[in-house]
Amino acid sequence: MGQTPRLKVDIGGLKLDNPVMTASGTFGYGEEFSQLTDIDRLGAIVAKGISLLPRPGNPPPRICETAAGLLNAIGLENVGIKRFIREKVPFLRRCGTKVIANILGDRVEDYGELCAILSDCDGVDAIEVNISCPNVKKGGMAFGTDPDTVAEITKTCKENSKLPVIIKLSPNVTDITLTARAAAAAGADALSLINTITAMAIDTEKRKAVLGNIIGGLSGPAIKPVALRMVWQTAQAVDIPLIGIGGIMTATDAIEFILAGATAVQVGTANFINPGTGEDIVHGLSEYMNRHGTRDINELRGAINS
Amino acid sequence: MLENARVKNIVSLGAELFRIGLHSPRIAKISRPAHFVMVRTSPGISPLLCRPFSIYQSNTDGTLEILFRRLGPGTTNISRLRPRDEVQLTGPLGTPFDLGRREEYILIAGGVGIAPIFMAAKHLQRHKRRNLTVIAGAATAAEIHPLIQDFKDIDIICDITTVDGSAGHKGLVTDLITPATTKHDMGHTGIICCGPTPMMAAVAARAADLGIECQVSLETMMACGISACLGCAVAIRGSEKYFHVCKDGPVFRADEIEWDRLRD
Repeated sequence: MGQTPRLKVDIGGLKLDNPVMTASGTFGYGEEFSQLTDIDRLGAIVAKGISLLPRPGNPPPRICETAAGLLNAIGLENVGIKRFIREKVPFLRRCGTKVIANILGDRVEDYGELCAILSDCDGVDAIEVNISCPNVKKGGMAFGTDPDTVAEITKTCKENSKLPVIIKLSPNVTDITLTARAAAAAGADALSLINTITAMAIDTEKRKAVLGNIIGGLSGPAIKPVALRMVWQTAQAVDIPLIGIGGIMTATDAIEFILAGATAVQVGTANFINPGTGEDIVHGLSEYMNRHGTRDINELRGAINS
Repeated sequence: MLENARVKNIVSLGAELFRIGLHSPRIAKISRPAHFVMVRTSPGISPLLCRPFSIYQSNTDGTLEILFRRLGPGTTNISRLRPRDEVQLTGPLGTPFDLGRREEYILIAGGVGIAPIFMAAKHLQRHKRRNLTVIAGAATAAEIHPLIQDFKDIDIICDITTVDGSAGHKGLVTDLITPATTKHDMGHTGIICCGPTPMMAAVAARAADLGIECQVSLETMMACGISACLGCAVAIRGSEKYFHVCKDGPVFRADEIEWDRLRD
């Protein structure tokens, strides 16, 4: 075999050594995993989502396990942008991997403000935008389901950011290509998809919703086929790079997303089960490429046979 | 740390209780009372998440012991493990009991919550804290006897309670707190407690009435065990904020917890 396969990818100007990242909310702020896995082997870390002000999160219970899935309603608990920069970025800056901050807000203006602050923050290489948040002005309906609002947030982020902007799409829509196109047309550098799928579980003995918030977001292997379909559809609809997310546990899962049209992938729930999953996938990608005589990972993108 | 441990032995104690010994020298070496490990119960995706377990014993030969009750698919899988099988452990996790705060302790355990209590008792005994009372409760005699067996081996006699009265005092562990206080210098005594949440809430209330410092080891659902998922939130008393059981705990001072918001 001789040659090591090339794993480098470019996500709208963000250059990664390999296409494997961690999904926001599943890898803390990086430091939590530093004793458990070699973070430097990852293409990038996406940090836990941050807002302008700290958020306490939802009342418990916040999580429960479902068939091949994890249901959560954490409620976007986070330390806020000030503490993120003061306490979390110094560790991230020292990592030998790229760092993507993930932002969330209650108002469109929050997103612009967060982008401006992070653009001047040494140690952050790109910004991922969580648009699956309740829109305070529109009575708590999620921003991410309305193409016009998605375009508006994207535009605000781009105007205020010197870093690549990745819009993280919500799957809780009838046609994901509508929000994908809106974000792309408004100047997004890349899209990541999918966020969790809204879901619920009921305790039949107590005749009560399991989660304190009643409704939560489903992640894990259960959602992979849905995510894969949405990535494939989005790849047909837009020309900007896509980051595939949803139930990726193995290199084979990651390759499925790349074949569906993703340039890179994020590993989420799997980090909780085996903190070394990301590393294992990087290794597995090389193995697959060697086995198939693929020299460059970019050759695999969208390469499903019809 | 992450360690692939080999099963050394697994013993069925009756009443759906099991004790498993795992060769996990790196984790065993630094484990303290109320530290816990996340155990991956399946190499596949069913069940998906790891399960948290208090460490029962850590021995100098590198063995880590866990005590568990077979309840759902995760513990059923663990109960089927056989010697030489390999299992993924992450640990030791959490903040252990602070056993240096008082001269004397009343240790209170409910059911399989006795695991960190046994480790705490051994630790206190090793550190010459002679005046220990252990109160252990369970539903029935069949359940309580295997749980207190190892205490006999270290010469600790437990005050036991059962709900049905089939062994020891008929009633709840809280019934035995006041009698225990007569044997202790209460100015220098602390309570250490682990068991079902309603029991810990009752013990916390009793400790508050008596003005005794009480540490509890809480249990919640957890996805990661390392403060990344933030799923294991419990409300902080008098605050809008939450503790995370995996990192801020599992041990808390009982008066820091908003017990009413923990109960269903």
